[in-house]
Amino acid sequence: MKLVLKNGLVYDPLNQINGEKMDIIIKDGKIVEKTDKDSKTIDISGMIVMPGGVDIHAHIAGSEVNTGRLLRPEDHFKDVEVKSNITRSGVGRSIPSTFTTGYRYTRMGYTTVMNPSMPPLEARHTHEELNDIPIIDKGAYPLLGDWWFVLEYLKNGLVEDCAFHVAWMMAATKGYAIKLVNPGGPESWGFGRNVRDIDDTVPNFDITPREIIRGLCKVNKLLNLPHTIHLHTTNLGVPGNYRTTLKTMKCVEDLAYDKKPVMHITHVMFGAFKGKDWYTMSSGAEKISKYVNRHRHVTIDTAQVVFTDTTTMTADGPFQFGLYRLTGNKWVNHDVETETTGGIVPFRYKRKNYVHATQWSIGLELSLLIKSPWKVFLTTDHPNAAPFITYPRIIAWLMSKNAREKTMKKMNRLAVRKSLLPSIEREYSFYEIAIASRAGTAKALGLKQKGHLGIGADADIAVYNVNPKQVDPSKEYKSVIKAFKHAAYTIKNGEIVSQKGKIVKSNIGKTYWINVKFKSPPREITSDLKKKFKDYWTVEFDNYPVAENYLALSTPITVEAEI
Amino acid sequence: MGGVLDNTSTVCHGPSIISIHDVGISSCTLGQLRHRADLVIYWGSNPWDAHPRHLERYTNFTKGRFQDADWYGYVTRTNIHQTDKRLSRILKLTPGIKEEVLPKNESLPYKFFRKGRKMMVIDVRRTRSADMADYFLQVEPNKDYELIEAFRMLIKHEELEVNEVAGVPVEILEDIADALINCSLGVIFFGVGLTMSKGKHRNIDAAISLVRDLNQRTKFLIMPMRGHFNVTGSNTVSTWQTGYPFAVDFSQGYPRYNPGETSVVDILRRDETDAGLVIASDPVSNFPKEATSNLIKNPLIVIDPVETPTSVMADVVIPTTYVGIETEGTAYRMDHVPLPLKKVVNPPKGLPSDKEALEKILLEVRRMRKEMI
Ligand SMILES: [Zn+2]
Repeated sequence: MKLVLKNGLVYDPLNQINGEKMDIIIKDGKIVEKTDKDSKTIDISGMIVMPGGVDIHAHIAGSEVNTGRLLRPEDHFKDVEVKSNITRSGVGRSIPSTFTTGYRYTRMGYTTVMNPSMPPLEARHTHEELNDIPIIDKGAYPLLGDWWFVLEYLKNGLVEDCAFHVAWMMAATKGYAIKLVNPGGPESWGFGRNVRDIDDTVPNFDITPREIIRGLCKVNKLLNLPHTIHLHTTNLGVPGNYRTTLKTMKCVEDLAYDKKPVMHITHVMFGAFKGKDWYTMSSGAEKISKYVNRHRHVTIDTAQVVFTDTTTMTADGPFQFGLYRLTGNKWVNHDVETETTGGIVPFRYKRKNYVHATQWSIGLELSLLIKSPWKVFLTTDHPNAAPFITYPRIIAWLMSKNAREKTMKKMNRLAVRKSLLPSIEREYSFYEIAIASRAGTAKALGLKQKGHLGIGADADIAVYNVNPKQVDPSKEYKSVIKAFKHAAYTIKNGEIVSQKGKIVKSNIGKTYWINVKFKSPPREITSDLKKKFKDYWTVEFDNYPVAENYLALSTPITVEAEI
Repeated sequence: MGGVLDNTSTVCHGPSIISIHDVGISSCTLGQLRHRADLVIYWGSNPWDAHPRHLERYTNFTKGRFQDADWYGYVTRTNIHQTDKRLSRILKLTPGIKEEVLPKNESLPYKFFRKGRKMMVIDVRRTRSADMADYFLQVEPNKDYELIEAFRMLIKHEELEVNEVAGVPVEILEDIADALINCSLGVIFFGVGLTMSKGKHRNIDAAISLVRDLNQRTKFLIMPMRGHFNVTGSNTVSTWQTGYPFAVDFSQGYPRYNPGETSVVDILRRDETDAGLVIASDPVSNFPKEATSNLIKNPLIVIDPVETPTSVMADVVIPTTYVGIETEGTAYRMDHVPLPLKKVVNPPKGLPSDKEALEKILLEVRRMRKEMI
């Protein structure tokens, strides 16, 4: 398909284009230089053009997400997606069914979403679900921070052997990045315990979270993976944990090189609590922001709370158990042999609750106090802090002090009094929104074809009907919400897939995964693996890897390792 | 089509699913138990007969990283049982000696107060699995709920003001409660003995809640012993596509779920269908009579590699290949671990797989309805 988007106001931060009136020309799924005579032209005067949204962290598929769906029929009853002759029916809300997930991201102008927590043993399940999420491109991060092989190799200082096995795992699970969740915690949880500090020892394995984090950070560099390690910190959701988060950021300072990030810390809001207990709990966002402003080796995403009913789910089994004890809500735990665990608890964030209101504040403080949007990205850790459909509201809070103040009026008084937000004047520009929601995330993920509109980029594009020359987002933030809720046009792979919130075409999205090529002919890396396989897992070696033909549209990214 | 999609959980583990909606579940993959479980309880389930390789692969008779196999204990116990049986036969044959009735529910063996793997069976009758266990607790029929609630009280250190519960003396229950608290990782496997006895999903609710309470004291997990080939897979796919695990009604243009109303047996009983499509299952042998007769009086299509009482009653039968023999595919193990199924031999020429047959039907339906999905 050939298409020209005419007269749009283009925000393309990776190419330093800030609201210029430009034409975007599309051919065969790519952005090209020259128009063909038979191109279809759409006039989008007065509208914003951005690269398609790139979500760096949203739980949209796999055993954990699906168990969340199973746990919560009441989440689906009131939010349904009726079938059309193009789309399949489904349900919402905080844990939407697969087809619905694809349509709803598409309507918001998002075209790439990374699924951050894939138990390797259940990777096949994750990919079967990703196949059923239409339109958007996807990838998944295998959970490797508690894998026995990683613990054993790193314990013995065998970083290269660890790297070979991690590379095998990326191919076997068709994974995209190394994910660590409270490293050492899930293994300890196997016997109902946890680690409380990055220098605690993991029972039975004689290794510390610090050693695991540093080890996998080195592995990440050896393998030359496009994304950094993707880390969920120790002590998540515990008052006083901002110290642990700072300690975690510091622990890889010396591993940084070329002024590039070497670590992505996800959903930092949950790791930015000051105080000794829930009564004295307060925001640690200022300290963390100060650190991130002074260093280049870390990127973060926020996990912005929105006051609503949602579902929490992480691979941090002990954290989820704590949340169950705190709330008394229903609780799912799912331990995965040799690798990881996971938990699910429904949760409602209430504006009148001091802790919840403070959490809301922390997310925005992080986004606003960290100066560079290339370092702090917009997420809700869907569905942990809120469902992804709330992004437009978050964009409004980022762009408008008025919007923030309006929410604070109805919030817990004490939380407002303690919040830094009333003193923060900063408001994001559309350019900065484009960084935090697409350019920055695509860059952090190392997705070279995404997050920009330069020649040769994938033609994944969002057109939003809001005119920055006429609308002042600070005052008219409701127009901003409306525009970002339903993109005027979403273009995926060069085709118009959604128009004013209506899906007009449903195509299949790609699944990215990492295929590592080694410099020296690779050692017989699987011999140790094969030997231990029967002892470690209850499935056969041959049945473990996910074959490429399991992926609806397999898109390997080949990287060359340093070894 | 706007029809209703259901699967076999509607007649077996449906109650366990409804319990998960109510209270959640603390569970795991089977390897976690192989490596770590030191207290394994089979409640209303008989793995030795229903899941023949379960014990040697996943629990008491396999070696894990932190737990040893308990073959030795098993051999000893089997010898004792054999001797007992022989003795009782001799006693029977010896005139003048009255057969002594073995006391029901003896006290807990000392083993349960030590480290190491233990196996307990709780059931209404002594099964083969019960013979293999370190301890068998016989519960009176339909008294499971009372027993579970008693354990819940005991582990919270509450006193029971009765002498026995469900036919079991309170002293024994207290000892078991101690064993539950003192294990390093315990697990309850429950079967249809619990899901289909009186109380149904209330039993499971209580069992899951017991496990949940136990997690305040130690690590405890629970898992349904599910049977039917890949019924877990049906639940799983149904859930990710529609939000609901079974009994999904599409007649309004979106998925609706209300077991008891949208479940297939209830719909058939109310005689609301006008046609049926049955894939690799046998409702005629398993459904109540009136449901079956309403199913077969309307057009009935069966897709199945084997002949069943249902396929015999069908108007159209589409024979298909065997998945895992003649066609590759995926099955979900009872702990939700997805496994690839391989093709071993070529199918007879022209025989489609169930997937191919359904895709062709779907294509034709969409063509007729002018849909573009
Ligand atoms: Zn997450």
